[in-house]
Order: sequence, then structure tokens, then C-alpha cells
Amino acid sequence: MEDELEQDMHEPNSFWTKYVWSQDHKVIAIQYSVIAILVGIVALILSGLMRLQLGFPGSFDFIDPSSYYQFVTMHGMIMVIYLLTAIFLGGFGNYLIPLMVGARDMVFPFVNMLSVWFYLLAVIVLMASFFVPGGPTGAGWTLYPPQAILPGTPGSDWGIILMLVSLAIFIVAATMGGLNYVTTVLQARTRGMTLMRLPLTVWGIFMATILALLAFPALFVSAVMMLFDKILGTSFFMPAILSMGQQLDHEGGSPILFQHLFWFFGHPEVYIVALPAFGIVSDLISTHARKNIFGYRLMVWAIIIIGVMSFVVWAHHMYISGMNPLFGYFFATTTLIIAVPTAIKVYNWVLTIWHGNIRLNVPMLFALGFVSTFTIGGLTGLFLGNVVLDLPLSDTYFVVAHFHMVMGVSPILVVFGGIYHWYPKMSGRMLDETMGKIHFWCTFLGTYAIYFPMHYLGILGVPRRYFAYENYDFIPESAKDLNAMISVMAIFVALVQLIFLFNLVWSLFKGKKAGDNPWEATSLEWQTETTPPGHGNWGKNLPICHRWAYDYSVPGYEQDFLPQNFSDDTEEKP
Amino acid sequence: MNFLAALTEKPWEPGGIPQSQFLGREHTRRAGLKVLLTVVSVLFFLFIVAFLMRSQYPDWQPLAEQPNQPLFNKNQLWLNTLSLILASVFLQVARVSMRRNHPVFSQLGLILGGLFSCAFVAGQFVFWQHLYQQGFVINVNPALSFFYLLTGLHAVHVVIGLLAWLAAVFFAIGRKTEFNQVRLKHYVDLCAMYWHFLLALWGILFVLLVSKPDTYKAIAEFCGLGV
Repeated sequence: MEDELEQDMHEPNSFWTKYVWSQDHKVIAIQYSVIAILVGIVALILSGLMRLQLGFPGSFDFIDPSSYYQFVTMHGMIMVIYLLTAIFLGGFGNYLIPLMVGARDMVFPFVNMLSVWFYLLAVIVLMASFFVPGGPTGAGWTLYPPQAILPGTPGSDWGIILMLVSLAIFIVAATMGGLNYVTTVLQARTRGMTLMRLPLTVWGIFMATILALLAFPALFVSAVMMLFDKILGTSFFMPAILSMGQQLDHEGGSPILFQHLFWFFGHPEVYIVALPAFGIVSDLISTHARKNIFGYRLMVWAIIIIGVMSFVVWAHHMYISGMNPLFGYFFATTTLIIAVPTAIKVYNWVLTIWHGNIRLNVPMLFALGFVSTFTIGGLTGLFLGNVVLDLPLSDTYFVVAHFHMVMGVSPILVVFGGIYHWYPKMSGRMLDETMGKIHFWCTFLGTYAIYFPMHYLGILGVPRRYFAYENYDFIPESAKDLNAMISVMAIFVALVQLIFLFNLVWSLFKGKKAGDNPWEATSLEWQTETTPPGHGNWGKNLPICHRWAYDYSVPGYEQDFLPQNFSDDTEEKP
Repeated sequence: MNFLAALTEKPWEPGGIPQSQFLGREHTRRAGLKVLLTVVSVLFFLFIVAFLMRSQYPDWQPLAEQPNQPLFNKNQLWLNTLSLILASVFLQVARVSMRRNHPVFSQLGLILGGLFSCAFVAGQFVFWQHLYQQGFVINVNPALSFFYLLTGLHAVHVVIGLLAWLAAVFFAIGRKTEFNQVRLKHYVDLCAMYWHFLLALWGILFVLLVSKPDTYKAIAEFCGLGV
């Protein structure tokens, strides 16, 4: 009784309630994604500006050391938090969870709406820092005190305050969203949809959300305490310190305490981004190779093990902070252990493709691209997980190459793959295949051209975070040429993304009509009555789930896929 | 254990159609609140870990050992604690009477629960004022900074709870439709749960903030948080 009333309550009936103050998970998902992509474009432009300086030092007067550090900081923070976290959980999570589990909407639609508006507010506060005196903070995306809040660091007046406030608001938004995703998966699954019949996409997003709910508080704690240090003059993180020749009022605080809190959030954050990517890739590969995913149970267990273990590896980001060697030994061991379930996933993707009926369409290309870049990025992680190798490499471009391969390029390829895969469901039209293929090959090969050479720069000892590299004898001339090449490729790859944006808009009007299930996929989101799905998703009756999401090429059936709501008993074999 | 059993299922084998997981709106709301309380617990747990780590640095000064220290006189804090206990008790009364169909008691419990919560927040505010006037401002020493931070954040959670309480009051005094009645029942239930949690949290914070440095040292060493 009450559930029906609930359902009617947010039935949209005007432009404003339908598209702006919407409580429909599909609209909220698109709002999340659009904001994330827009703010991601800002971060992409910032990276282009950084590369201009690194590739052609001194040629651009408007880039000085301060603005360079501001570009680095804002690029990193926006990409990790405001683009990747937001689009995976808020975008894909919102759109796919209710459809894939067979629910009519998220369980708390009003809270879900608040979540996207808080997210927008966080983005506005962050962007406002470009327009305040002193500009945005240039403390590096890790915001380490004491330098983050001391004069001398760019944006130490207003930029850092806005950054911390924006993060706090974002965390409130992510928590409100996360409450919905977790509770919906646990409580609103349709009849027959057991946990082990969930598509891996839902598993990835579900576990990532749990990580977000448990890890973001650590960032909240560190942000609030740093705000107190900055505004109220407390000494949580600030030691006794001289600044500009003056003894400051702070004393006794511990910058290392901040590092622990930050990385207790920061490492799970890697998996908050990676786990949804793992899940989505599993579904893309299985669907487009027309084969059931190899080792489904192991895939689920690996997601859970990775999620749990991601909380006991954080200090591998702090090897050079002067920690107790035994402490480092422990974290090096856990870091290497977490590579095992991750490697299992890579093997399972490859074995799923093995002898599959591979359809090399755009989503599949992006999924395969991910397996490649993720393997490369993962392997260099084994280098850096060892304390002895990390000490010399930590402050070089090797680290930049590693983390961009593993959590920059890889998840972004999945975001693209996911958009190409589910755009037909969202809009009713296919994205253009040719433009998609150009977009894929230029992005995939282009990002390799950017990040692969950085490993060599790192091994040469080229330090990261530097504004300019003049007068360092140990850096050969060839490194400068390499840097110029990397910059050219970076700008090329950035420009290629315009094709993707154009494709998104063009296909909305001119794209080929998609039909309900263009990929011949099994999971429930492709079995809706209408495309795009209407309010309430399922018409009069909820679907009933009869099987797992991977019944591709089942022997004895004419068509090579059996949808999750297909039943042997009530219908003839197709 | 159910969860573990579910994880060993073999979904590729034909398994029929198990019953729906949906247990009703009340259950869903409770589950949502439990998730939220887990997040809040983690938040305060991390603050407490930070507190314990910070307490092991040499500039730490206890708050409640000597007469000249800010928390030596705890009368106001005890009074506030009493308010919060009463708030929690009255909300429980409201919850139980709601189940047993005593509308008068349930409404009385609900109103009194909220009022005592307001008294708690006001009492905390009075205590902060009192400290402030004595010159114990936030950056005097790190323990005091933590005191303001933790009690402030706890008070913010009480205030957020009061927003939900307002919604419950709205349903209680609004039209007696079936929709409103069901909502009221759920909200009172959730408010009671949330307040019991806040009371427990306050108890932990109170004990933590007035403990002796030796206690912190022992806990920190036991947990491996020593410096």
C-alpha cells in the first residue's frame, strides 16, 4: 500500500520535476554524468597547460611556477574525485543499479536527488577557487600540511579553504548517494535476483560504494582538522614552524598524522575507482565475446577480497616519510598480496575472450584496451610496492607513469566503453561506430605514447612535481625531446576527445535507432518495455529473474543469449 | 552467515526463483539508517584514533585533572548528559507506545524527546560559552581543540536528527491519513534508534575527553599508536 503511494509521490509532471528537481534515478545519473564530464574537461585543459610548460619550458609566459602547481593540484583532485568517483558511483551506479537488480528506482529517491545537488554545490565551490584572490590551492592533490596552509604555497589564503570545504560537501553528497546504492542492492532486488545472480557491474559498484562509505570519513576528518588549523589556529597537524622568518603560533602537531588519515582514504579511493571499472569490463567482455564470464564466483570473491584488503595497504604511499622499517615491511607484503586477486581478474577476462565469438565493436575495443593498460599499470605497481625500489623511484616520473596507467587511463577507457555500451539504453540511439573507432584508437595509442615514455624518464631519475628542468646535469638532452613528444601527444589526445563529445550530441539526434536490446545482452536493463525506460522502469509488473546474467551461447538454444527474465517453463525455446 | 552462504551459490546451475528480498518499506528505512550509523561510527572512530595519536605528543595537556583545567568542573556536562538520556528515553517511550497503539503517550514521548534534545544542544552551547569566557579558546591546547571539534560535531549530528524529528512531528500533527500514520510510525522508530546511538556516542566521547593521559597512553600502546 505505502509502496505504491511512495511510487506515485515522485511521478514527475512538470519540466522542473522531470528534468531539474528529478527524483528519478535515470535523470539523476545523467545529471551526475554531465556535471562530471564538464568538470573533467576543465581538468583535461589543466593537464594540457601543464604539458605545455613541461614540453616547451619558458615558451608560455602565462605559466609561472605558482600557476603550474595550481594546475597540477586541481587536475589531480578533479580527475580522481570529481570526475572518476562521481561518474562511476553517481553516473553508472545511479543508472544501472535499479535497472540491473530489477527495481523501480533507488530506495530513497529524495536523498538521491539531494546527493546530486550537493555534488553540484561541491563542484561550484571548487570552481569558485579559480576566481578568488590568490587562485586555487597549489599544494598538490595530497594537500600535505604544513605547506598546504602556509604562505608561499599558491592559494594558501582562499584556495585551500575552498578546496577543503568543497571536499567536505562532496563527501556528504557521496554518503547520501552511497546509502542509496548499498540499500538498494541489499533490499530492492526483484524476485529471483539472488546476490550471486547480480551482474558483476553491480558487484563492482556495490563494493566500491562500501569502500567509499568507509573511506571518505577519513578524508572528512583530515579536511575538517586542517580547516581548523588554517582558520582557527589549532595545531592538529601543524608543528612548531618558522614561516617567512616568523615563529607561528602552531606547535606540536603531526604532519604524519595527516598523511595516515589521507592515505587511509586515498588508497581505498584507488579501488573506489577501479572496482566499478572491473565490474563494467567483465560485463562488456562477456557480452561482446558472447561467452559467460570465466570464473564468476571467483570474480565476486576477488572484488570482496580486494575491497577488504584495500584498507590495509595505505602506508605504501608513505615509504619515504621515514617510517619504521618493520611497518614498511608489513605494508609491502600486503601490497604484493593484493596483486593476487587483481591478477586473477585479469586472467579471467583473458580466459573469457578465449574461444569467444568476439564482436570487435567500440565498447569491446575499450574493454580490451583496459585489460592492456591495466596490466601494464599493475605490473609497475609491483615495482613500487617494494620499499627498496620505491625509495629511489618515488619522486620520479616512474610513479606518474604508473598511476596514470593504472588509475587514470584504465578507468577512463572503461568510462568510455560503458558510455558506448549503455548510451543506446539512455537515449534510444546508437553512438556512431566510425567516430567511436577513431576515438578509441587515437585515445588508446595516444595514451600509451604519453605514459610509456614516462617510465624511462623515471628510470633516468627525472623528478616529478618540478616546474622546470634546466641545469640538472644528470638529465640528458634526449629527455627534453621526449618531454616535447609527450606534450604533443597529450594535446593530440585531448583534442581527440572533441570527437567523442561531438558524437554524444550528434547521435542524440542523428544516431541509428537502437531498439530495446541492440547488443543482444542478457542483463535486465536491456529487457525494459520501452527504451529509454520510462518512469518506474518496468511497466506494471516487476521482472522475475530466472537465471544469472551470463547465459551466452548456451547449448541447445537457437539464439545465443538467454535474458535473465527468460523462463524455460512458460515459453517455447527460442 | 547468510551472506557467506549466498557467496557459495553456483548461479550457472538452474536454481528456480527464490522469493523476493523486499521486506517492506520499514525494513528498508531501518537498513538505510544502519548504513548511515555505520558511516558516522567510522567517522568518529577515526577522530578518536587521531585524538589518541595526537595525545602521545609531548605538548599534550589533560583537560580534567587540575582545578584550573577547563573540564575539571563537569556539572554542566553531567546536566547535558541527563538531557540526552531523557531525550533517548522519551523517544523510546514514543516508539513503544506507537507499537502498542497509545497515541497520547507516543505523541508526548515524541515531543518531550525533541525538547530534551534541544535542551542538550543549548546546554552544550552554554558550556562552550562558559569555557570561552574563561579564556579557554579553541587553540589554547590540542586537547581543547579536540574537545570543541568532537562535541561540536556531535551537536551537529543531534541537530540533523532534530530535522528528522521535525518531520515526524509534522506527520503527527498533520492530517490523519494512512500515509501520514505509516510515515509517523517509521520516523519515530528511526528517531529512537538514532538517538540511542547518539547517546552511546556521547558517552564514549565524554569518557574519552575527561580521561587521564595515562589512560590514553595505555590505549595508544595497546593499539600500536604510540609515537
